[in-house]
Amino acid sequence: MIAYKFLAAGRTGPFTGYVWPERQWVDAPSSREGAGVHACRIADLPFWIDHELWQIELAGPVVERETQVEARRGRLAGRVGSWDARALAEFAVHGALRARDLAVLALGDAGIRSDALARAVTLQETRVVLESLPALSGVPAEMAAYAREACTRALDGAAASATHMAAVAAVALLGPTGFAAERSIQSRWIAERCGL
Amino acid sequence: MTRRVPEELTCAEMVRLVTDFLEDALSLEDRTHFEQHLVFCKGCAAYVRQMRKTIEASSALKGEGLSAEAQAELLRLFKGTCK
Amino acid sequence: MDDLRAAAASAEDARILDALRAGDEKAFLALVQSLNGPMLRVASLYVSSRGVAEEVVQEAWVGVLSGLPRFEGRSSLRRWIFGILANCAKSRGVREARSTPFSDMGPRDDEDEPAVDPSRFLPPDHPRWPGHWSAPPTAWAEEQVLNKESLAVVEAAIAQLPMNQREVITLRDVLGWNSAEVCESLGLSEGNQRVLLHRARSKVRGVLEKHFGAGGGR
Repeated sequence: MIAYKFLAAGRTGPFTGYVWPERQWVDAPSSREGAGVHACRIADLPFWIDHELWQIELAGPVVERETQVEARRGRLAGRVGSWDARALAEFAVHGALRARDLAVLALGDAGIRSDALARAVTLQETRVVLESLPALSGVPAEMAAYAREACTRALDGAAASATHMAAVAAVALLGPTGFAAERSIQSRWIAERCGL
Repeated sequence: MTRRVPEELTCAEMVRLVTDFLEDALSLEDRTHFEQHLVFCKGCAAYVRQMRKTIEASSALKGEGLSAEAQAELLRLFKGTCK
Repeated sequence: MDDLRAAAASAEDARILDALRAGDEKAFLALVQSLNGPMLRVASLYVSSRGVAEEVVQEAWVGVLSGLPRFEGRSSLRRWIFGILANCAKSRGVREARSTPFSDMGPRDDEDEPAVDPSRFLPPDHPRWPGHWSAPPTAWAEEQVLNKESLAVVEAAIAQLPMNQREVITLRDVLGWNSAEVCESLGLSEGNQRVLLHRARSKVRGVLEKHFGAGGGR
């Protein structure tokens, strides 16, 4: 099976600190469930954002779980070069602007016009508009707050945080299914951006 | 009450679970949620890193050894025991 | 992997034992020198002063030497030596406690304060982020963590811990024993050991955080 794996800079496993060799097979350190080689299907990518994205070849039985797959062996097949600092920054912007879009929907539902918010292009602009909205309450207030926070995170370059906020905001507006729906939009964004 | 995504861990829970995480004592499900939280939360990532550094500092503590006289005394004792 | 390591360790034990039984002074001194620091640290857990700890370590070596002919290698040499040491240190500690009006063994491990001040988290009724950081920790200047001053802070923080937490963090983190060794040596369940380790590490981290002046964050 071919899957994907996010790694920290220098092919480093983000939780184990293990430095992955390139193109060499690596065996799971133990046969215990959970101790195998973890990887992502395309739909799992938004949950595991990091600096490097690799294509990984998996072997042995592969267990599929909610947000990851696990195999007994894996081999980094090649780096996805299009996932770079710029893509990461754009992904952060995507998250923040999605949170903004959801806020625009919430405001519209409440009969509040927000053309300036809908039209804002940059994060700074979006944040300024969000901060100048009239006093809000209830869901619109909450959605505006998520969007503002997501802009702040994105401006800090915290892509995983900004996109997570968008997914949580989607729950506030759409209910429990909003989270998975937003994550799925994000995974499609990554796949398209990187040509996966 | 307003936990939007019930299966996610809060930062307060992360702090409670950090040793179980570092000791590899979390269930697979909890560990996955723990790791996902680390991906999006800078504060918790810093917290876990600080815990790792704290452990490293403890392991770097040096004790002094026995004094030279005490060691000489032990050696005399050893000679006396093994004839 | 663990089996391999255990086999290598017991071969090493056998080599040392043979040398000791043959009266090899160099082997004895090498053993003393390698265990000396850790033994003093363990002894210091139970007695009041450095001087008394030295005496306890001496006493333990006397016990080790007299027990050597009968040692059957059922546990590792190191574990056996530390077992003797812990017995010596604890009985010495008990005698000390009887002769001093206030034994300074630190507080007992009663129901503990939380690992992090609850005011650093948003309240449970926060509309968006209940239980998330309001004052998150900020990254440390990591090159400072291992400098002399920080290590002194860590040493002092460990000394302030309740006895059972101090035992666990000393054996696990300072001396680097694994959890099975610590559980056996202290008669703790895995879970209990982890709870004590968690409290101990959390407090030491908190003290280091204050030391680095990052308490409130932004």
